[in-house]
Amino acid sequence: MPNNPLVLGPVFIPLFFAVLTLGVARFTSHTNLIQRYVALLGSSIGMICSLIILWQNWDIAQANDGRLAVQVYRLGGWQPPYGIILTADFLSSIFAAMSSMVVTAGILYAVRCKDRCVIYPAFMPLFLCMGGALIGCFYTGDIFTLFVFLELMVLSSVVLVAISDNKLGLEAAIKYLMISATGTLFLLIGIAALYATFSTLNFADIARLLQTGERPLLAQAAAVMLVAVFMVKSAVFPFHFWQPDFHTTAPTPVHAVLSSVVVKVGVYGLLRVVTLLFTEEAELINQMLIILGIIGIFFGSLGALRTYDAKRMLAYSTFGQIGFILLGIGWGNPIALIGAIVYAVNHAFIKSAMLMLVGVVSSRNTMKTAKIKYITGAGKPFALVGILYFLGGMALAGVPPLNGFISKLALIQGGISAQSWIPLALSVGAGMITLLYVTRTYVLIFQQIPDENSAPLKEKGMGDSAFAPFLLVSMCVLLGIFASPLVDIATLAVAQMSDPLIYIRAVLGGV
Amino acid sequence: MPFRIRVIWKNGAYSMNVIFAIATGVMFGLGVFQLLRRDLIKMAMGFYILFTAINFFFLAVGVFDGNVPAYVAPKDDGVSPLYLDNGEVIARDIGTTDNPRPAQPSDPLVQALLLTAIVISFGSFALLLGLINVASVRFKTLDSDGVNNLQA
Repeated sequence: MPNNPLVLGPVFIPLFFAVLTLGVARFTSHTNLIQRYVALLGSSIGMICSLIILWQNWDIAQANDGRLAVQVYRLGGWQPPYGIILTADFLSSIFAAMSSMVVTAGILYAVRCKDRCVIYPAFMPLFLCMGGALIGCFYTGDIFTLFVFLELMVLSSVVLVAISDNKLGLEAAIKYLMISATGTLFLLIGIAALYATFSTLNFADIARLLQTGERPLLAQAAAVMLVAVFMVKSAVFPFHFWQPDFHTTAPTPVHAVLSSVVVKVGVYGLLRVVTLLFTEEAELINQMLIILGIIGIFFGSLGALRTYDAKRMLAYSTFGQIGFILLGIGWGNPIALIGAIVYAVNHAFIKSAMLMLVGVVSSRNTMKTAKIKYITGAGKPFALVGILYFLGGMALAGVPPLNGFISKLALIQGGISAQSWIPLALSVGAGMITLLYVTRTYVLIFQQIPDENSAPLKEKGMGDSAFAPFLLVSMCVLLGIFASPLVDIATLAVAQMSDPLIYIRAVLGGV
Repeated sequence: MPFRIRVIWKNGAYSMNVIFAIATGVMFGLGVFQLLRRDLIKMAMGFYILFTAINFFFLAVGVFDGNVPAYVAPKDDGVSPLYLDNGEVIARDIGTTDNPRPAQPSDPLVQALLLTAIVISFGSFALLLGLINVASVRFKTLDSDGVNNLQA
């Protein structure tokens, strides 16, 4: 397998531009507009690289065989299992392309954002660090590098929330740092346990040694640790309590990225644990994921229903939607896994678009709040924003012409072929709650006439731009109408994931 | 070398393992205890102790296997390992001359990983203390009940 240096691009170009923007900040005006455009440039180049990698994989799969479509880059030229390796198989490249697109949209939103925190010189570098580390988590083929990238992502997102305009951001940041850093500590225990057992850190090599059926007690402990860490990262039921606070208090562009793609790190990790590493324990993990997913769907949807803050409602909604994805992983058959991947991608676009639209509305009142009490009717003058929010909400609820329908359909087909009727019925029923809370906020924000409680609007032109959410919503509509490319790529990804030997051979070479 | 020290040295790997296991366990317990304290500074200290305990665990994974340095310039001075003609290495000062033990260097990768982990732990700890510092100014208290404005 030849080296493909392009795999470095989506990870290290944003990190390089993070340093560059830090330098640019000192020479520009106090609004730092040049810095923001430089950051946008860096993120866009990274996005193009990740899309090219996905296209190359697709090309190889079309020309030869889906099994060969794995791009690798060996840092320093060490042959695996020695040295650090970046691996982009279909699963990684789908997740990386999705997150680089959403991160770029977030930076595009931040360019025209009127929040005070955006003009801090450290904002854009931290944003780029978060984006680069996020994609690094997806591409890395080495478990210790995963730990390093996770920590980088956590630390930069903590600082981004701590400097938020919302006064409560600091407190949420402390809480999240404690929880998340303690979570990554347990990842470190898991890594140490795996290293003690197998003397290797490479995913493929660990998977190869686990394939031999050797199961020392330490390896089983490592499985528990890894599952727990990824559940903390994606806010699955017992570890969810930090998520609404932390996401609500973040600045809008950061909130859009955190709530849509950063939580997907846990989903990606769980997919890797179940399909690559601990395939023999997968049965047990899957049963747990189904139960936790159902709890998450109900907890998140009902929490969203009784929350009277639009941003917080969408944060709770993320918690519910992650439950659907876990359900797809838990059912574990190929159709359900396709459903889970498609759901993860579609949810990222929908959720980031909706959060940005709420941000557009809430940035136009003087209190900068998203409490529905204060922004009732605040969106009435902005017809386009209202239409976009409606489209996004319908996509979230899974109404036919939009992409949410495709993902729900794929997931339900997976449930039918898994013949697990009770979770299926519960999840479809709980999906209706989504429609309820989305419609309610749409009517309250965009349809009602403002009453005396509402915060006064600012002058015209003082709010955030709705261009980035417009792009994201058009992406949602496109993915709904032309759904087959995404579903085809997800099918190829699942075909690769179905046999761990494909990944192992691609990385280690040989038999 | 006096007899007693020599015995401990001969069994050094094993006794160090036991000491390390006890130290790791005690520090893990201390860390969790401190992590659950009310005071934010003590909580941060607990986080750091916990991280150090896990670093100990990581260190214990591979550091006591070795009985020779990872690399020594080949010279036969009675102290450095003896290299046989076929490339096999015999540690001189570990076993006796009659019964040489095969030499095995420690795993250097563990130490490299540990350095990274220490840097990361230090960074997180510093960031946490910085945030707590700002919180102490803003909330005028460090009791975790006082720093509790977040409510739905």
